[in-house]
Amino acid sequence: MRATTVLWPSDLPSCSGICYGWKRPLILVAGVVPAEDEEDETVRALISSVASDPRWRGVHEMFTSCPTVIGFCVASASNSIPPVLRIKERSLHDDPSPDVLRCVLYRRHKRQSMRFYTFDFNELDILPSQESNGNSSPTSSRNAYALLDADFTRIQTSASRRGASLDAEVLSQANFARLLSDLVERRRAGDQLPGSRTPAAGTPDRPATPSTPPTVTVGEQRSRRTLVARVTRRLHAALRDLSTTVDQLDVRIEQAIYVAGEIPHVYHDKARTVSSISKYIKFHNCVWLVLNDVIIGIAFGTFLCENREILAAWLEYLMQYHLIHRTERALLWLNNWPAGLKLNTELSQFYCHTLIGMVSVWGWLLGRAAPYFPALIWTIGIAGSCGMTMIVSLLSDTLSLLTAHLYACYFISTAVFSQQLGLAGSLWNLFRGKRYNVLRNRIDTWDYDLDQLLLGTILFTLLAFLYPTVLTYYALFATARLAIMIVHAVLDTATALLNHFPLFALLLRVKDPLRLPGGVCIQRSKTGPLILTSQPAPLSSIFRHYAHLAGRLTTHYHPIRMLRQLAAGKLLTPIPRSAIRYNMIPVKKCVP
Amino acid sequence: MSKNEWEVEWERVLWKKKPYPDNYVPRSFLSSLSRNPNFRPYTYWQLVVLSCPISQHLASIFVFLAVFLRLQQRLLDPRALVWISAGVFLTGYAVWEVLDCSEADAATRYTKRAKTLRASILVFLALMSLSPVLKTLTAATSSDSIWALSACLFILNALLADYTALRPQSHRRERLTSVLSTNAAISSSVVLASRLTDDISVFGLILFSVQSFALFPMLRRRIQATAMSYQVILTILLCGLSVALTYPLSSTATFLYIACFIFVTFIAPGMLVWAQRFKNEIRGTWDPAVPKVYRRSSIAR
Repeated sequence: MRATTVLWPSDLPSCSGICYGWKRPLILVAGVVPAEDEEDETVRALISSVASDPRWRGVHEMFTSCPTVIGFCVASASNSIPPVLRIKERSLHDDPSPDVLRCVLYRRHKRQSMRFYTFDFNELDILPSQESNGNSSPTSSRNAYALLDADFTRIQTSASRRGASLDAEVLSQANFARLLSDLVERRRAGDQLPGSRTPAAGTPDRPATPSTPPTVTVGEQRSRRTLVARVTRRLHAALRDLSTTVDQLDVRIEQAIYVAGEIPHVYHDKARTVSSISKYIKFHNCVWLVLNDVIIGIAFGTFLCENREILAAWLEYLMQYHLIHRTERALLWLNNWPAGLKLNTELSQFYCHTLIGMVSVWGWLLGRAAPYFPALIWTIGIAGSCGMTMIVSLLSDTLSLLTAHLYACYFISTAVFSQQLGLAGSLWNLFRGKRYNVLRNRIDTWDYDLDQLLLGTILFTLLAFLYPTVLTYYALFATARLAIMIVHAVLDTATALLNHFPLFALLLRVKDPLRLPGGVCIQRSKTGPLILTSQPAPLSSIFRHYAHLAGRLTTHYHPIRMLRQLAAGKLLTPIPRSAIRYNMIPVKKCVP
Repeated sequence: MSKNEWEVEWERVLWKKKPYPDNYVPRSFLSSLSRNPNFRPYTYWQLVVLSCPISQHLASIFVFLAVFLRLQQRLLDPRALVWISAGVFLTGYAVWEVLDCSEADAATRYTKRAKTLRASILVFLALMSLSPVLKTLTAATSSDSIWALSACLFILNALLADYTALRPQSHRRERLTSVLSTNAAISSSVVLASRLTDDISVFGLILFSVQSFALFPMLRRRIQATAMSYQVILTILLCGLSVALTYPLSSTATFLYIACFIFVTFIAPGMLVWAQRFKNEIRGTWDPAVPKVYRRSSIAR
């Protein structure tokens, strides 16, 4: 006696009639047509007519077998116990004797409720794609399946050879059971007219990519304006890296285009597939984020606008005292034997005079600009109506602008320091009798002439005695730059947080966990039968791309990494904007 | 079984059943041990001659110190020093050419001379332009630190210097230690030059130091490869020069120098010869083999 598993809808009212659904891979009953006897020709005709329905045709290719009549069921006394089912078998190989039926109840979710079953949360693609890799299918399971499909050594299992197991197809059958039964009911209720097709807007949409933003000219590769396009693109990229505000504006424009493009897809979609649900969630996440952003921005902006006088005065004091006065004092201190260290007098004098000149010019400029600080703060506050991210970006840019003199001093010190380090490296090679071979990218032994050795020796003494002076000045400005970098790191983290928080998904998880499924499990209910329940997605998977972003930020702003860059004389830069930017619209990779 | 029979039957195997016990030690134990097989004992006068380069090097350091003191006390005109340096350089180059006349090709000799001329002009001009900078490098340091630093650097120079002979056919690649010793000497002269007052003395001193610590060792090593009498003559000349230059300045230092020379030339070889009795090198058949490499001066056909 073989036990057959049957998936029975738990929300079906108990009645006797002919059941229809899918027989492969597992027997899944989608609905029951009430009838008195086992005559199933009408039901068969109904199902075949449903198969030609435009709404069904769109989802039809997800299944390897068509819906058929399964058998006859007799109503049971109470609703909870599934009725007795007599399965009609066509095949002669199967055992015609009545076998034990194991019923697993499942819920037929309505399409409008946007609930569904899935094994893997990653099927629901709510994570925006990364800008650097422009592929539009980021789910790992899809890649795995594609890999398996491309493997020609695999035996292709046809649908008939596949074992009866609860796999993804069964779950998609369960997801679409309600649609099937609704269509059958509607056909049965009477609109058999072939002309009454539901409008084309009801067709489930294919996963089509919406229009790309106008700044990425993917279609104009062969036109005469290729050069202009390329120059614009490069300028665009350079501006984005230079100013955070420009990048933020770019993000906003992209979000606006995305929202405008997605509205028809999201709101007119009737038959919900998993991809359309994920589009829905992405769309609403974007809209919610922007609205939240704007609300916080307006609040903070009002605060800034109202207190601009006080803030401007405080800002001016901060600039003049910390940035200008203390820098000058530090430079003068370095010039006069700091902590007993005897630096080279001439070089120290030169450094000191140049840098103090630059710093005092900047101080004079800031003094002239001081009356305009309230207006600046007011502008930043007004910009808050575009969102808190705009305020944060403007603050980041203002910080870079106000500390431009420190950046210039840092740049000069770093240039000299890295030059000295380079010189030391090549002199070390010279003394060992080795030379760097550019062609082979390796160090080769080389016989130097005597005059080269002599000059190298003289340069070495120069380097050895001037190094402490250069190092002290470099250390001063490197420390200042490090402090400014930390502030930039905080601001960048705030921007990334505000731009890419999965707010909608989180709240959805709280409100209706079944809409964010992360797996299925079969439980035994209190009354007896097994129930197929959907498990909500774990929080870690919702924050998955967020962990990726946090990893990027910590890698770039890691203290050890920054210290190592300082020791090597490399310039410290804020994180490139493309690393913390995620595209709402997948960028198509253009093939030349 | 007596010991003689065991001795006759003894074999260096453990897998055969033998009448003697496993820990029996035969009389032929360690007969293949050889003590000091490659021992060629030093002889005293040979060592004395071999210690000439060290004396020459020390003498050049002492000469340099004497020149510096005269410059500082303004007993020596810097311009004269520059002329002397130029003259010594030309003399040295002539000696080098004479020793190097195995080069048959006139074209190669011409190229070499041109290269040397270019190199010398380059170094001369570079030093002249850099000497104001070099003067100020350690100007702020106090004199005591300068003397200490300079002494350390000269000791480093003497320790790391290359005292081997330069064979004319061998590949002339400098070892790292010899480059470091030259660096130490030049750094020391730069450090000392910060005590001088005007630029031209700095230039003169550093020119002289480049010549005596970078160029003279090459010549010295070349002379070392020639006959013994030239070496001894050169050593005596240099030591005499250093003593003569130092005597008017400070007699203590002169006696110190003479003591140093005597120690290095006569006492140290004696100590080395005496210490040979403690030489105990053990070699046996169990050591890794030393291949005998036959060097051919010309490739056959």
